[in-house]
Amino acid sequence: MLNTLLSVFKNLDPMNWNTIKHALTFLWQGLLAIFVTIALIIIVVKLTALCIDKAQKFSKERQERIDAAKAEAIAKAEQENTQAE
Amino acid sequence: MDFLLQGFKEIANDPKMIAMWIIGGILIYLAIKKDMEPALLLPMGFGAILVNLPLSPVIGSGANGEHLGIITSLFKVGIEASEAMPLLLFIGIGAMIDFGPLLTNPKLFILGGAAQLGIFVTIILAAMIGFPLNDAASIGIIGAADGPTAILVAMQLMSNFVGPIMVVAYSYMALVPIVQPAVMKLCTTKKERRIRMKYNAKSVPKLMRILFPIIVTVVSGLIAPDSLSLVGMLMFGNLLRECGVLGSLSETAQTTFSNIITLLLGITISFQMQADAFLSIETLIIMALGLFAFVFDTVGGVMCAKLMNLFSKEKINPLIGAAGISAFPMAARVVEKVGIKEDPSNHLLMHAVGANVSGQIASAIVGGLIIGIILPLV
Repeated sequence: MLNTLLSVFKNLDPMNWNTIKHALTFLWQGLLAIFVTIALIIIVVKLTALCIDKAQKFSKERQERIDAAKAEAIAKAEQENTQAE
Repeated sequence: MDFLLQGFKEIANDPKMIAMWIIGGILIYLAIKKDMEPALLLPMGFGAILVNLPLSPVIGSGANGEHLGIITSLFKVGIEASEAMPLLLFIGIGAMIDFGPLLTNPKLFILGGAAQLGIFVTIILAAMIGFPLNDAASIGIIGAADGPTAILVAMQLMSNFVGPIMVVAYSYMALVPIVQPAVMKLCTTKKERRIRMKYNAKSVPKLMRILFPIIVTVVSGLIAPDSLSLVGMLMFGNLLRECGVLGSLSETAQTTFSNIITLLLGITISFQMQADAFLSIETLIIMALGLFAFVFDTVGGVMCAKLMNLFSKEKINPLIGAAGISAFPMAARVVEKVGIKEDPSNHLLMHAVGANVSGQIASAIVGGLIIGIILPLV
């Protein structure tokens, strides 16, 4: 009955099982591919964010160490100056 | 005096043209009066009238000594030969998008993927109705809620319904605020719509913002190489925005460049709106299938958010899922509006924008995937 109804559309070939089978294959293939792509992007983004975070933390710590060493050197020099006076 | 009446005689022979004038008039009305995607619907509406005037020289084929019409020429060069226009428009779109909200919460990316469900379900329905595979896939891509992607896929798959697909894709994008809220309410309970989400407004490092477009391009290029033209242009536009050294280029891409391409694209699309090809029962079916695709996209996004809630401690407001369709930024605004209606102090906009921009990327990837899977079979 569906075939009869749809046959009014002259250019269409309703309920063609071969086409439907392909379309069903695309459903799982397409969804799988998109989710794999997205999962990979999420993983790479998270890893990159982690690396950037670590690098920034490391750089901050190094800067703090350098600043602390400088401050210590200045304090030491000042102490020596005071002692010399 | 016969030459003065020639046009009228042609119309009497082909009254379909008058129907196209009416359609053009409706598009112009929607653009001006209802403010629906005016940048595209207005040129398309005017173009529909222009190409459906008897003996219109703008669509001359250039064959057999016939003059090559300006719209034919624009179509052949800008769309048919290389799909340059829709692709170049993606540079502008990429430059407009801020991926910050997505990078703050990358799991929102999943919603962008889930909200492409409508595309695949519509392909199945179109195949059941009897459309050949290439047409079914081109109709399904209306669900990408993304005009340039729809044009590119329909052209590459050599669909017989490029005109109706383009018109339906842009018209439904304009109808997102009408279509989506009803579906969102049907798929969610009042309690779910009131779920509050914390927005952690941490700033995304500049390096991450610069690396993101490159990462997306490389990953999608490796898995879905056919999506590279779309994703590549989108991400190139975004890199212009984020690199920080090409401010004027980024601004040009977002404004002048996008406007010029949109203007040309709108009028060029009208080439496909010639009465003989456009007026058919299939056009009506494509309109119905387009609506179906948008509805199932929304259902896919909302249901995925509900599914994610089963496994995560921090609950997601399922309305956010609806923003996973790519209609940017309209879908995010719709989510905010529906959320505020339920609870005036619950602002979902930033989360919705995250899902929305992920939908923009996902739809471009799906477009490429469909081309890659179906083109060898056509």
